[in-house]
Amino acid sequence: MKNLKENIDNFLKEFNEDIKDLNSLERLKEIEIKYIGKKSKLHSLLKIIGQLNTTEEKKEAGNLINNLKVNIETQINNLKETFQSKEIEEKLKQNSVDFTKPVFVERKGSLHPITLIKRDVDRILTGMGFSLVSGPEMESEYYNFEALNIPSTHPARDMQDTFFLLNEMILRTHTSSCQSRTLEKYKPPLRIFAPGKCFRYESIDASHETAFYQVEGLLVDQNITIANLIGTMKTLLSEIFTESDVEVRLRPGYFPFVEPGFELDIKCIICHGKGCSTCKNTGWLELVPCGMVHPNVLKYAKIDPEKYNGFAFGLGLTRLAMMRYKINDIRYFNSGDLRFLKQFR
Amino acid sequence: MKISLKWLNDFVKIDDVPAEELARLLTLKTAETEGIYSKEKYFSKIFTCRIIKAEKISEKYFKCRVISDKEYTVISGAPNTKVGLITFHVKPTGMIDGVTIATKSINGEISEGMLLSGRELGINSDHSGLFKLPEDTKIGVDIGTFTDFYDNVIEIDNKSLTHRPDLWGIYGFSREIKAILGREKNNPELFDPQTIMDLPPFPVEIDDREKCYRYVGVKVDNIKIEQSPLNIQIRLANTDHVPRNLIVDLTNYVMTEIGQPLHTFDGDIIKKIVVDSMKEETNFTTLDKVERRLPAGILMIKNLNTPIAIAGIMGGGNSDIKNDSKSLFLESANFDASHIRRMSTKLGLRTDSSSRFEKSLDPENALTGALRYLSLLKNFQKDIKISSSITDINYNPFKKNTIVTDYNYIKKMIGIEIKNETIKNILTSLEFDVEEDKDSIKITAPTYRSTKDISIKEDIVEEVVRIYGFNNVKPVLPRLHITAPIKNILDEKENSIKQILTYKYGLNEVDSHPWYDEKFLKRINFKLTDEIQIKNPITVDNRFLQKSLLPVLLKFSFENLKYFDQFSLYEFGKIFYNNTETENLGIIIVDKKTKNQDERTFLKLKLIVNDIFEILTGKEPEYKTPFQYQLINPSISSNIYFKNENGESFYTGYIGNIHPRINSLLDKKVVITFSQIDFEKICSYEKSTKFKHFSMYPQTNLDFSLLKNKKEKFNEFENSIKEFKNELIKDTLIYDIYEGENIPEGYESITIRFTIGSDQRTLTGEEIISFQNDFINFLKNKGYTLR
Ligand SMILES: [Zn+2]
Repeated sequence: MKNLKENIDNFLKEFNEDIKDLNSLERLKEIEIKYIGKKSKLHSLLKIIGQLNTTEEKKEAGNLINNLKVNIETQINNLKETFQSKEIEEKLKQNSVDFTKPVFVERKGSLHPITLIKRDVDRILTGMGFSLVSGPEMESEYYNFEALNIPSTHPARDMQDTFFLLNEMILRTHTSSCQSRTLEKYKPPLRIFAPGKCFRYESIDASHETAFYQVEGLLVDQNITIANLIGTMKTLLSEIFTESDVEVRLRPGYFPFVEPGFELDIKCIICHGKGCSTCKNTGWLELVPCGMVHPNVLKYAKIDPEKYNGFAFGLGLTRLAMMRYKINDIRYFNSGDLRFLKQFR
Repeated sequence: MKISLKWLNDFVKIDDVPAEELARLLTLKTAETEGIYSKEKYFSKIFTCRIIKAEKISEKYFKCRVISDKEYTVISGAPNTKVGLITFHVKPTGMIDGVTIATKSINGEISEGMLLSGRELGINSDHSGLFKLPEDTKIGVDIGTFTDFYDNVIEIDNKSLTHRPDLWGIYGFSREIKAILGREKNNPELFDPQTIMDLPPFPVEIDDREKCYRYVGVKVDNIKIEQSPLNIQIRLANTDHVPRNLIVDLTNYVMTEIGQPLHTFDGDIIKKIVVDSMKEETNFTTLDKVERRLPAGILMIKNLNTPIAIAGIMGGGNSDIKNDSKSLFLESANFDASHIRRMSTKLGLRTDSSSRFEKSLDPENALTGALRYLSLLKNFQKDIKISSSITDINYNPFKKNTIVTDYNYIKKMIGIEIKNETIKNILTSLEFDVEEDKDSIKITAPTYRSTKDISIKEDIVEEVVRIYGFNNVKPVLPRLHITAPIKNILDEKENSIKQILTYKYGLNEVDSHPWYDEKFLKRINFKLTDEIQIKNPITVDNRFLQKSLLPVLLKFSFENLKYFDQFSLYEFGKIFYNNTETENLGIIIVDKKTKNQDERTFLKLKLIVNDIFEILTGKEPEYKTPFQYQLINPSISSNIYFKNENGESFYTGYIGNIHPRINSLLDKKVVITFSQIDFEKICSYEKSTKFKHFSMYPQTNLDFSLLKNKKEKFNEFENSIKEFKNELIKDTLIYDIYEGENIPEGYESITIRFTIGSDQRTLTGEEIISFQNDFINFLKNKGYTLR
């Protein structure tokens, strides 16, 4: 027994000596085989048990050896883990990537700023229950004018605003031309918006273009009020300008297809009403022509104006894009110039 | 339209209201104001003075002593400088047109301030000498104390007045202000026609009654051509007129005041007025001494048979007031608005008169205009002799518009609670006549609002709500029915394809005008065919609507090549032909030219086109035949067809490289590939996706590489491979095409991958080997060599 204890002590001493300068996983594996492997020192210790006399002694020796085994195993496993994690760390270090290295894209695409702003307006109006409709760019005078209560004697019919085509058609001067087309096709109640390209015969400069984008909005239902128009416009504009409460004001405005007609201004988003060059020192920006649908427009579409009424509004998409992206020259929009276009993603 | 606030104050008291506040109220309730011109911001310290000494000190200058509030020494360069002259003097530190006048040295002499010409004062355009004041002028008096010189003038945006013929005069605005501020209003003083009722009428005949509604005329003798009183001149100057002489100035004065254009003819010339249209084209010299070609049908004022004025637009040089005229004939008429507008546009001649007549003026104002003129003239020239009665030819007396509605309608339309009485008060303050009945109200509009502005009950709502104040209407979101959305497939699909093209393939979206640029077309020698033509193009190079998106995308490519070596553009745009328009997608890829780039760029775009078709229709299109088009290389091009579920093929566009002759126009060596797709057509095919059951047993991939003669067309090759039939085939894929090392010249290596399997069991090794052998045998028979 005494011999056994001595042996265990020596065993431990020797083991501790061996793991003192341990420096590799391979060496640890050798040590593992040497101390607890099949032909290990531990096995030779077990032989001693057989030499003992009493069952009690045998039992005690068994315990001692088992404890020793557990002790050594635990130490070896701990060491193994330390070595393994060190090794992984070592490997990670050797295999690092410079995250500041640049990456290359062969071609970086872009969306036209009108597409971006249209998308925004689409999302908001669709959310408010309006459906998107579209109409032709090459339009009849009927839908562009007559059906909108603009008779042939009206100044808006002058050559100076409109592109006339030799096939008796015109290029639409506004997306309002979609009003009657939609009213004829779908019966009220309805809520639609019509984004699209329009054309005006005028000389081009930094703020005038012959081709530009508008979105027309139209709501026809029962018992619609001017208060409803203001409420809807306020909500729409607050969403577009992502401000919780855009300040708007209404002024009288004249458009033949609405009555009463209004000009809706918003408090200047640049100077917040103090006056600046953008708002020509008025503190307000003229933004949305709108009004209650003229009964004649409904009549043209065979809708009873005594039963239904509604409102219409127009938003200049090109203008909105210029405001949002601070674009100072409208001519860029149709230029195809990548130095401009690539900025919009 | 310029509104002088001093003048406006004649009719409604506003001198206690700041100009800015008036402008704000007008903008919110009546018409858009564009700004306020305050004369006192630009002029100051101007006093009457008399020259008491004038000594010529050089060829050009006089050294003067003038007496104003005290004596000053002033150097004057005006030729009419002389002792005794009464004129205006700006004191040192005073301001003329924004420039401060300092005591300064002129010609070596000190000048305290400056003596002023009409032009320097901004009263008229005369700069030939000092402004002359009458003998009885008080000396040393500030110009502002006895004239309206320091006026505030509100400028109104004319566009916002197109539907308000009643607002083309200052008096019209006084009616608005009266309603807005709730104040009293005075009327302009009129001549009493009763006093000349017994005089014979002047002969006036209206032959074209469609274009002339009313003609009021009167003849006045013993007139004097003289300068207008100072304040008349100042009022006219402040409202943008150049004073000339009293007779002419008063026509402008009345027009500015009540909005009625007047014309004075030399009374000694006119025998009989005939209003009629020209039967044929004529030449006519207007009073601005310009000879104009007048179209047939234009309405003229004639003296017997001689045209003397273009009705409503401009008088003639043969009949206007001369410096020695002794007599005048005054015209105050009313013409058809659209005729005047058309003629003025046709002649390119817009005058104060035509721009008013084209708004549909109140015919009642024709009489008022004549009476106002006489009252003013009589006031300034006591000795005039009116020699005819007021001749008033009025064939279709204008009716006032009457509208029957009810208070509830008005309130319901605005969406507010408002007292009946408030509504009634607003309408009466605007000079509407309101008759209340049990359930309804009958509203009669004044004549000056009846010509076109007020005719339906919606117009009444506008009157009420604007005066009541839009800001008093609380915004309310409407309560609405839920309805099914209207589908717009084209827009939806366009959005999703834009997303792919931009973010998956790195393309840049462009937008352009719908017409060709013929300058560019000439450069690339592009021939027009039967394009739709624009009647009034913006330039001679933009006459035709585009029938293809290629020219514009090519033009953009040419321009961008100045700054970039390679890029890809796309546009969703309309093309126009056969009187229809269709939405098309044009894509252009520009790559630097390297070896095999022609094929590479072509296939790059083909991949994009295939992807678009797959996304929209669920399958790839067919590339069948080369495409013949003037800018396209016929050897590197193809038509694009789409086969529908019935197996019918439809043309949906084309793809092709740009013809080498176009490349030779460019400095940079590039390959350009273009494709145009009829987007509307492919959007009309519905994509149908159905779940297909897949095998639960493992499948095996078998790859075969074989040699294909490059002369054999790929679709022919594919078709012959398809002839190999085996029930185990689940999928066939060509996944590599290789040429170069280890491949014989003229051949390319094709790798085909078969995915084989069974729905009932796992394939055995024997089955797989047997499949392999079958296919190898098939290839042998077809004459292909396995690699
Ligand atoms: Zn501002």
